[in-house]
Amino acid sequence: MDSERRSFLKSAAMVAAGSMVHSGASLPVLQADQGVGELPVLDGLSWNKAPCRFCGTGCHVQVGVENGRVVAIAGDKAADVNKGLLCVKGYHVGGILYGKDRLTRPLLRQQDKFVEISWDEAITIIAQRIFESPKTFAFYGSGQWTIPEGFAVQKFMKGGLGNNHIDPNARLCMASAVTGFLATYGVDEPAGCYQDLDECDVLITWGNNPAEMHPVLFSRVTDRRSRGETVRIIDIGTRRTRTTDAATDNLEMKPHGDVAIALGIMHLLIQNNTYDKSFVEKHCNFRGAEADKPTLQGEAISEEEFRKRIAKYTPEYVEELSGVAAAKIRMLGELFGKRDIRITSLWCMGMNQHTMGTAINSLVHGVHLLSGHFGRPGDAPTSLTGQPSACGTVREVGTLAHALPGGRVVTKPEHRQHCEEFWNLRAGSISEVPGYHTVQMFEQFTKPTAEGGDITTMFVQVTNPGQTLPNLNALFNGKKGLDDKFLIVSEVYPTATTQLADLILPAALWVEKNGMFGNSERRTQQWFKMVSPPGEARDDCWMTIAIAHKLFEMGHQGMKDKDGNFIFSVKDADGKEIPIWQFEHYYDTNVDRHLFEEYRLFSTMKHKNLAPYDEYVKARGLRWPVVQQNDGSWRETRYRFSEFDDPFVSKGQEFEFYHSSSNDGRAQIWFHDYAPPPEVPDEDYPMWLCTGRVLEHWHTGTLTRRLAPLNRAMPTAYVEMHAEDAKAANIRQGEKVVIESRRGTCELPVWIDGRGRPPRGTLFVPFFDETKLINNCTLDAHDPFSKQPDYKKCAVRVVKKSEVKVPS
Amino acid sequence: MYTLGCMFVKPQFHRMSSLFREANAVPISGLVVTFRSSVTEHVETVELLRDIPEIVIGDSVGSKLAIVVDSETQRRDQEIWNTVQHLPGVIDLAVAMVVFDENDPNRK
Repeated sequence: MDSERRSFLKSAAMVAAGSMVHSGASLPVLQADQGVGELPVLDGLSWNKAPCRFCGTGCHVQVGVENGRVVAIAGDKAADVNKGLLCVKGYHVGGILYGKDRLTRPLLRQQDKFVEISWDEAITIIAQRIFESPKTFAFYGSGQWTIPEGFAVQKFMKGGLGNNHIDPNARLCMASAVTGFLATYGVDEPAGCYQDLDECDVLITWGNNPAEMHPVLFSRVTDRRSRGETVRIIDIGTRRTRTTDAATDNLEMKPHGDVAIALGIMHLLIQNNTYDKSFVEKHCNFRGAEADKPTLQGEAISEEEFRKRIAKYTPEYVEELSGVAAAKIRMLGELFGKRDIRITSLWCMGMNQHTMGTAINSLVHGVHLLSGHFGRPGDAPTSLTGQPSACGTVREVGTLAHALPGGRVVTKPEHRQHCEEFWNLRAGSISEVPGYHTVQMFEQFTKPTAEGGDITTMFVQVTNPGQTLPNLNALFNGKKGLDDKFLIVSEVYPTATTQLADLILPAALWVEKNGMFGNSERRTQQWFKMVSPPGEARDDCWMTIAIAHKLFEMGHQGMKDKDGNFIFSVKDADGKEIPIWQFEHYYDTNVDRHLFEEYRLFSTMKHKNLAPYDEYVKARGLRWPVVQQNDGSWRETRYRFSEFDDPFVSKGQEFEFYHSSSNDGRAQIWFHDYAPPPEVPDEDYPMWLCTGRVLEHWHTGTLTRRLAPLNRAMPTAYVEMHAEDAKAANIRQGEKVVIESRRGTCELPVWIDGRGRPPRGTLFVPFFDETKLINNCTLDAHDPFSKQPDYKKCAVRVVKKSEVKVPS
Repeated sequence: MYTLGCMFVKPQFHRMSSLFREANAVPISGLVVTFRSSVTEHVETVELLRDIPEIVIGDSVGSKLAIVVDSETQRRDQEIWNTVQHLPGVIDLAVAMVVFDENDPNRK
């Protein structure tokens, strides 16, 4: 870089910093019409919008491109989500494209070596395996799939192959949030939006650490404080974190204590007669799980029955179960009993990665409904997601083993019929049998075929199960030595998953392709391809379409619609087919636009209405339902089910849960009894283990570990340990220890009184480090409804490395 | 990091990698320093910032001061961050913009 250019870029950086200073950097007062105009202007440097590639917050960035390369990142001031701010990961997001070990050619394993092959050979190999055994093929994706990518895979698998073995890694992170929403409102996803963070008087973080995991959102709250507003933050968790540091109150609970705490709050609202009678009478029912075979539908119970069941959860009993003092439970009960304050609950993995995940999600919704703290800005139960399109792709497109697009499910004939009609497929194309959920899918893949393991070929896109699955030795490493099992991995860098791959496909990443994401507040976002991927890396969506077309050429009937046309056929203005399965023609048209316009048809059944693609080109995302107005414009919705904002609420209703599972416009307030965790510390394994993330790294670190500033800031995983526990075991700061569970081991350095402070008897280990796979130790026990595993609690022991017994 | 290079029959990656620049270049950072009170009450700290040659001081409004950091090495970059964060009166250091492209062969 020449000195003139560097000088210019320094000036540009100063303009950006000065702009923040002059604006006061007070998030809510920044105007949403600033932005691109303030960015540096330089010949050859162009700026365009994109959502950040990392978490589910959905911050927008401005991407500076020069000579075909991303050269700068700035926060997008026109974006309502982040108003120009970014977290440390977001500011470095452009660098994820340029790690020196990008995968650039398809690679086929031959014995212990990888051999470069052509794309045509790779696509043919995959298509042949599917053609030979379409029912033993599984597709495993993620909440990092773009909306069109996920929609294409849905159509390919469920419509084309009649195979429902498709599941995403989101099963591991937010499936319990989905089942909680479904059980309570009859439809998925939060009713509120991020504005709740600007308006609440009390913010309760339930097993959640937004200060590190969703820092831009958390800054909306701390920024209010810096401007003199009073916001009470109550942190409920099993360890102290940076969120605790900002909290007014810290309620340190035992693992599973959240269930007892929610029950305790409801008990107090009933006992003290401080629940919102009017709201409950008009808008809620009471519900309990069926005794014999519990379902998400549950069974109706009377208010009297609810009172009877909740009666035992006195503050003292809750203290016994949760470890939180009865006085603090009373404090929560009193807060929820107040009508003149607004309370927002936030949660993420803590409540979702939980063997009672559906229960605790439903209970926290129930606390808000019972107390009437619902449906006004600042009064909201809100779950966050960890991936950029866990909502948009997984939950809305429905890339889950039981789901179909737009809130449909494979078990309902009318839903299958809708999809077959939208896709112009023959009746009966879609199977009524749900596919394997994640844990089952990998169990079947790692089980020898002769023993009934009936998944023989698996295609993994945009995720890294070799690092994120629980109980890795059983669910992933079991693939070793099974010669008839074939693992295809589309990736951008070598990962733990590519280590066992038989075929590796180099993928385009983020702004190397067109894309759309859906964030945690129902906001659908769009961006255009800005730079070319390296080498022969290609779009994941193209891979799916190319495989489908190869099958079409081979005569697979499922790849033809009712009229005999290719199911992904795209025609130009003259009616001539564009060969989008050939990569050189993939960008002859905007495939994303075609797929999104097709997907949009599915969105109205559950009132998740989407605007045309071109509306998203103009916006920094729009929150569904997006409804066209009389003047032709498109209006987004901030608050669902609330008459003041939701166009689908009947006039005069104030609130209406129009997808109520009881078909009466009411939400369900659930009762679930407390149950202990599936594995608790004992004599052999006396410590709790909790796993999670850190500020600097995103999930398995595949991207952030290649960003030197982030990796330098957090170069290795560690085990957080209480000083007294370390002292009792004669373990020093930084000493290497081995964490052992009944399932596996992991060697780590000890961090005593570090960033997070676990209580005595508890350990915390982040999972970002591929050299220290803590998921060797975690438990694959999962919630009975969501099938989401519990990564937050299992029993382990700590052994000094020098004292590890080597097996004879 | 996992690496597949040692397993290749043809070391194609080495040839291709020359096309890419590494992501770990030293960024130029536009930062906002937030002081406990008005910047004008922290003259000594601002002078300490001025004494760091890699830092350029920009505008200040209220408790916030714009700076740009342009360092030669990643280690130095980290040192500067640590130093600024721990200066008297500094309560926050936020990023406004990062320019991370780096193509100067003379830079370390």
